[in-house]
Amino acid sequence: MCINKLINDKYLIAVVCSFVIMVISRNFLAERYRSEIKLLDTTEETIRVIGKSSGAFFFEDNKEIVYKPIETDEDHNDNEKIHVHGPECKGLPGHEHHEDEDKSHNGVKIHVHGPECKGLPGHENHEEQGEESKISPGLALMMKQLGFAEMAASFLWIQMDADSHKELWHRVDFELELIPALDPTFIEGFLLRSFILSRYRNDWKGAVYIIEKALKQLPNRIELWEQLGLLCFNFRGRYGDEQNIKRAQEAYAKAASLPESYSYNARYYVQTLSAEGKQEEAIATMKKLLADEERQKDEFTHKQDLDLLKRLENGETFKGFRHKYNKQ
Amino acid sequence: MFSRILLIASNTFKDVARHKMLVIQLVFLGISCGLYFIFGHAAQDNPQLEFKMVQDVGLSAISLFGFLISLFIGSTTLRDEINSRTIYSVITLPMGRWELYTGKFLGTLAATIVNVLIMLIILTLLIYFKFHIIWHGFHWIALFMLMEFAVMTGMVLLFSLSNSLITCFSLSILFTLLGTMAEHIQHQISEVAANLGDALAGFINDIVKVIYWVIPNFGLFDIKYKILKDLTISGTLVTEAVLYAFLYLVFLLALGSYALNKKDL
Repeated sequence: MCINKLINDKYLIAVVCSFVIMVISRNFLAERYRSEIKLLDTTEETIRVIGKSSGAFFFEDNKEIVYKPIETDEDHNDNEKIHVHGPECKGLPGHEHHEDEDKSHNGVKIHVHGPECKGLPGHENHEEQGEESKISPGLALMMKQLGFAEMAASFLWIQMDADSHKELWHRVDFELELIPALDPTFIEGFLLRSFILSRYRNDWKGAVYIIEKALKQLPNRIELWEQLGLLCFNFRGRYGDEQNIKRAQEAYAKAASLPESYSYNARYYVQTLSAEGKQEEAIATMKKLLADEERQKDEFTHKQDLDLLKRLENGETFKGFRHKYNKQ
Repeated sequence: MFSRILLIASNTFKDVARHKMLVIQLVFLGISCGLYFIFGHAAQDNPQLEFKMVQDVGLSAISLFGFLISLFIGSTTLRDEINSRTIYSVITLPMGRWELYTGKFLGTLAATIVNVLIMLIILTLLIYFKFHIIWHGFHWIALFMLMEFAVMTGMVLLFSLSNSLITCFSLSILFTLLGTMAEHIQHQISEVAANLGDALAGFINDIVKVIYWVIPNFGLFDIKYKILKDLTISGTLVTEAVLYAFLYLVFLLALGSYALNKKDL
């Protein structure tokens, strides 16, 4: 009787039928979503970063992470003279990539605070280091779970900027690690963290690892390939004693092949060829580049190309790795 | 039949437009003005980074406002009529209750979609005026967001048939949270259940699976990462997502019609 009543209930039949069809459709969509979007669930990574660094975040006297100030003098253990780039080398061949590097890196402006900026405008808060962070890691994780990961990453970036002004470097480190974990498309997070590791922490391997990790997710971003090339080429040992010319070559080749790439990437590719000892191939490639009509249209690019060819033909090799360079 | 449904739908839309739309849009406009100015310093004069921040925060704000719009519009349209007893003048007419519910459903959906569309247009204009670029992949994000909010509104409208407003709000928020974190929650429960022995774990997993089928899986409408990475998505995914959203709406419509039919009015 009751079952008959249920069977005759057309509303209920409509509910059951629509439910079954909807579930089938959901399963198809879920499969397609997994295969196409390849769910990049960074939740575990986020939790790992928060767990690992929560101490550093909450206790300011963390001893494990020590901020190393920028090296600007002709120093190093062996007292070898190295060339420190400065305004005086602006415009010189081979320096086009290094111009304004102290102020900006791949478009991310960097200002390293020090005692010398005490009292300057915008540095009033240097001594207010005890203030709590406005965005806690727990809040960031919750925002990620609720689908607001990109917003959490953007707010953390603002927080990171504020913390860098207060010289809370342990927090900056943590935030720069957390930002890409929250939002893997936030490439400025990868770039700045890699730059800080390579330049201020002498952690070349860590810096390269971060960029390689970012490239797995964003293989078409020129900035990442350029940064990888820069780190692996490590011209004049700017980032320590390690170098990977082969990988630098691949990175610059890839950067040059991407649409809207800058003209200097092709020149760096040629320099890596030269650094690898393939001088003739480097000269031949440079000549090919010079013959390119597109490159000839831009006067500055053409001039830079000519300069580089001249240097190569004069026998200059770009084995610019500091120790090897100085031994030559 | 269709003319009756359309009449109810258009009346519902007009009613929502008359009372609730403008304030929400004004608040979002205020947030957009804030977005226009606040990220310049944090992005350290890097327009690419500023663009990303404005875009991400803008989309997240739309997600939040979209949810609130769905909640407030969905929970009031039908409920107000029941409370003010104006619904009696409609259900005494020679028409099925399902027609009334379908009309309300379509009107509420249209109101939500128009609201979210206005916010998306405001954000697009903001990005255009500030960065002078037309946003790649915007139309896909807009489409998927609209589908998400359509399902959300349908769900809230169904819960508005419950006896109290608190129940409606609680259920709506709970299901939205569950729907957003469906994959993660299912995974966590499976892991916990695995420690409880095979029989119990199997039983719990079956229950979770059924719940997982019933709740709307909003995670499947999240394509922001894919768009930011590749700037496009496949036509098959779009078709299947549209089909899922449509079928889920049909399911909600059937369930709502059934509930309204059973309701003692």
